[in-house]
Amino acid sequence: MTTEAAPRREIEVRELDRVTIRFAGDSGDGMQLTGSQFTRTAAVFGNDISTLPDFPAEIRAPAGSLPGVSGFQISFASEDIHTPGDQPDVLVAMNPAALRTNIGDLPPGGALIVNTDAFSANNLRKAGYESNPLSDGSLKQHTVFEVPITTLNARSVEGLDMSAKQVDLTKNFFALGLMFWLYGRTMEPTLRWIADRFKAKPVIGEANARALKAGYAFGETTEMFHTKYHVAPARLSPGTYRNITGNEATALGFVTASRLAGRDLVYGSYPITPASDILHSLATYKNFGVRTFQAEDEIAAIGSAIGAAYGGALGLTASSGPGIALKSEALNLAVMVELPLVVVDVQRAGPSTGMPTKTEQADLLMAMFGRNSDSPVPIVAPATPAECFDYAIEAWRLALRYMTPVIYLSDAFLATGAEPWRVPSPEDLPDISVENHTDRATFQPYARDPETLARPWAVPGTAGLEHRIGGLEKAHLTGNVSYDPDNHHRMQLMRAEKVARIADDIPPLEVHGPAEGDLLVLGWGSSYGAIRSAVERLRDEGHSVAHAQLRYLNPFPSNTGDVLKAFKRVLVPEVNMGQLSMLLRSRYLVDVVGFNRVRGKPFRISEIRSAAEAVLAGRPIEDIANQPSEDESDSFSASGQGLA
Amino acid sequence: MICPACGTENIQGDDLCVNCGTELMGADKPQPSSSFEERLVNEPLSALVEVEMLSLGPEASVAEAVRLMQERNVGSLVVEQDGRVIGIFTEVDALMKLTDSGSADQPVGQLMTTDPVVLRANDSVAVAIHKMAIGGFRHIPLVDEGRATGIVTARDLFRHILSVIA
Amino acid sequence: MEEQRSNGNGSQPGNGSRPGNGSQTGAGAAAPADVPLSPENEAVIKLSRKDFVSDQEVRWCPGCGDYSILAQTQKTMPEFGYPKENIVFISGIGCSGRLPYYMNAYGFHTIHGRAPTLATGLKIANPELMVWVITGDGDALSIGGNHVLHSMRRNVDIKLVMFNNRIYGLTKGQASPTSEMGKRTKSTPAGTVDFPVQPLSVALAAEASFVARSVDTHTEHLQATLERAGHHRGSAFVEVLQNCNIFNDGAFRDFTERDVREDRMLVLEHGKPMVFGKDRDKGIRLRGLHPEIVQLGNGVSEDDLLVHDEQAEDPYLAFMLSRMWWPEFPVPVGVLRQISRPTHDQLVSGQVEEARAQKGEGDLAGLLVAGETWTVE
Repeated sequence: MTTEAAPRREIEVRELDRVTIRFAGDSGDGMQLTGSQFTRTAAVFGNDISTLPDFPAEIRAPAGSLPGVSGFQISFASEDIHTPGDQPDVLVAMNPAALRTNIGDLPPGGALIVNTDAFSANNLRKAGYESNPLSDGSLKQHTVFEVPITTLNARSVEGLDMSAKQVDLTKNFFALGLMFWLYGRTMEPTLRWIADRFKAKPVIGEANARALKAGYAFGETTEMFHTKYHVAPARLSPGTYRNITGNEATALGFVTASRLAGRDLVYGSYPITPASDILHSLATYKNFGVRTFQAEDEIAAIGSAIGAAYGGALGLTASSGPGIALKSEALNLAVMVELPLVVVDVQRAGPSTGMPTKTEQADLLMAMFGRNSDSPVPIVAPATPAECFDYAIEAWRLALRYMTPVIYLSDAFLATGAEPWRVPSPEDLPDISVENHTDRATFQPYARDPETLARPWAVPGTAGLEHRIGGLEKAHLTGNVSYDPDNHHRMQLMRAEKVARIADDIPPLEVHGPAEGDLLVLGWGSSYGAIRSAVERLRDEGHSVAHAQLRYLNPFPSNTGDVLKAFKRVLVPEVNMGQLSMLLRSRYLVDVVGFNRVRGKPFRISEIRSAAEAVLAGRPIEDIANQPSEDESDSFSASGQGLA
Repeated sequence: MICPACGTENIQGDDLCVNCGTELMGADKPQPSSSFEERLVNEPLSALVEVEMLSLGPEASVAEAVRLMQERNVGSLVVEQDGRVIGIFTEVDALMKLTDSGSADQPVGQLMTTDPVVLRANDSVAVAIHKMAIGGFRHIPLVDEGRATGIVTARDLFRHILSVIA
Repeated sequence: MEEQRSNGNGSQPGNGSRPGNGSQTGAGAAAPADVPLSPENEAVIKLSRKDFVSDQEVRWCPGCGDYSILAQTQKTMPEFGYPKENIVFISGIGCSGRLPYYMNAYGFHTIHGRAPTLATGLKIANPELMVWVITGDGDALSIGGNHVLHSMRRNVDIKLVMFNNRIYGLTKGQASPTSEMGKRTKSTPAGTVDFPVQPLSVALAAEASFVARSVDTHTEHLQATLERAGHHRGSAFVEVLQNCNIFNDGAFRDFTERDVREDRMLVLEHGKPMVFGKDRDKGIRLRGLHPEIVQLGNGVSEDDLLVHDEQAEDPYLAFMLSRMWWPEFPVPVGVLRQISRPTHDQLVSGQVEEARAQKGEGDLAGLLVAGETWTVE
């Protein structure tokens, strides 16, 4: 395609600290691919990034329908960012259904790029539009760029031997090329990637490359765009980085833990959204000695993990809320027999089947108490996708050292969101191995280590240490079945004390900001990003606010009480109805204020801000918590049924 | 399934191609095998020519119903009560259920087919064809929240098919 | 009654046991169905029954059939020539669940119905162990039904011994999935309305590769059956008809009693015609699709009878045998089926070895930086 030497129009290049783009289209429009390519390029350029993919609500939906909309939001910046952005600055909508489901999130003044070719009467009807939004004035508060992407793309690959369907598959590269021009990105990484991935189909590879360049060229030559944007690289600490989602990091963390502990990983699980990907990942690590087992149900999954732990391996299981509920009896067996075990809960909205693809952090109290009798179990909760790696190892360190099951709380937002992760080298990681007990002379099944109160791990196959364990209460030291009243009381105290002593073995709670002040915003899990950003902005405006994020929920770090008392008020935002607040209040007698919204979505920075400002001003925050959001769409996938 | 973009073999049902990330969600659904099929599957019944729809209450007599149908030269009418479709009375009902002269005075509510199969205006042509073929009938009322908005007949469908293939 | 308080002494290792030589059997290549698990090393320490007796006082009710099963199990263990530390007993909840405490071997008393799941995980972690799952008719067929189905179909190399007393004994007398229709119990004072299930039919439907039945008081037969189950490589399901003399006394007495058992039970032997009776004068013949009892003599000879075949790939014969019950038929005991299939742990280990062969031993540093990376200076 040639261009005459047209008079160069005035293009303003605006410098921005941060941009949030949302790509949305039909599953046939390749939005996941577009989003991930854009992310790669932004990362390679050096921006800090945060992403949130949003898969269609239905497994398969008719083309052009609302449940079939697939989206991808990426936020990239020249500064350190912690969330994929509250609202997009730009929405790229490839068809009417994508526009319909996402337009509510685009703020007034936001830019909208639409593929006009997809706005046929049929597609408008499928999306439930009575009139064409492009012409009926409903989009007037946005800057709309109408681009005939399908047509222009088809033109760019003319002459190549491809079917109409294959041509259509390349249009997402056109859209990508246009976005690259708009945001001053280089096409090189993507062109290299195309050449590599499409080796087997060079014609398609060529078409994709042409489409990409055509999109870029379109941006350059069309009269439509008067402004380009530039987002400078962020200052990340030196090292090798890769993009990683929470579930990927979780899986990698567990394989690594297996190496660090010198024991094979045996993973029993049952498919459930949003934890199934952990099984899919771990199943590909067989050459690391990882044995995965798809059990017949959730209980068999944890049963097999406990059996493996009994045999001296790392027994691991993962699920989401409903599955963890099923596992509670078996988890309690592990508590009683004091074997190392890690149980992962990738939390999702409940109760019951709830909203399987939506995030929530409402299983904390179940993790603390969801078993019969007093049954203390340590709980860890990573705060970012990258931390999912570190806390997988930490969960095993605790499980092995203290001979106890450990619950690892993740959530759907962490699991699917991505961020750059500085890859550690294995030598820098801790040795978490523990020894099996082998000495017959000193062996008693329930003798305890004086420091940790852990009992010895005597594994079947070890000569001379034959003994029996089980769910019935055991006598101290001998491990014989015991109904002695004082023994039971003593054993309950010891089990509780064993978990409590972990507080001396974990880092203190870290506070970002002043050590004391007017307000502490304290969260746990994936609320990290939104809280961090909100608090930073408030501090920039001069407020006396600090942020702390708990990674250990049981026991709490030993300085937690002191931290709480150093601030006049404590705000605890949670995507649940007030679970951490309940634990803090009962433990520390501090009148914390809960900010609780359960909309199946992660917190927005603006929500935390409003809540913090209200608390600082002494206003009630229930109104903010319970007020519906301004956006019309319920999320950027279609409202409606999700997957189980 | 084979990725339509890069040719890599993926596990059946995968959402994204493991090699190039192309979304497979659009590609592994059953597809119409011809443009003819595609039109039938995609076009809504509202695209058919609207026939004037007759409607009566259930207390109207069969004689009146038959007279109206003869007058307007249509093969069916819809029976509505309180704004909802409760039955359909067609030429087949007249043929099969009218035995002696007494029957013509009965209320049409007694001879009609109750609880008929109905569709909405934006259901596809293919669905209407399917229902008629399976059910063995030739008239389907179209409704909007229970209220009749039209009627689709086998004749309408034939005409439409002709317009598509011609 | 739940157990009384324990005697509080430390558990001591059994008398006379010496450390095993600890060598591992080779994992993996497809093993024939009937291979002893003894280690390669010739100098096997011969264990005796006493080595398996624990110091815990056995607290089943006097007269309970479990005593006999415990004794035969203790007698059988030394026969494998296997290091004691490699034998593990995993039990569920029920009177049968107490057995591990009375065996001086590694034991795990788990939760109701879930023993097969722990056994599966244990075998994945350490395929060298010989794992016995001790369960009952309630534990295995009620709450545990699903896990029996799957552990059998996976051919997990476990020896599942189900003590069938047709009642829930530990909880003091409720109906179980094998209780007969109309059975009056505490929970069903008007009689059960739930049709009972035939455990061996369930095991066969679950594709178990070894299916057998024996009786608690037929000590030699029980010991021989347990021994065969122990030798089998793959899922072994053994139903032991057990008498609960407190809550369901005499459930099987009609055909297991000494004076009638020869006439009312059919002892199965592979390759032999199905003959029974004190005078060995009756047999089973096939008429159409059904078995029928015939009197030998008068033109009917052993050549007309069904010949038992344990090793038939298809379980038609075994299934038919599993349906035969007194009084319509003599109750079959012995091994109904024994076929060979790769075991679950062999297949799991096999895939790990295969992956190592193809991709090389996992390189952790390489795995962490896999995918697209970039470097910040």
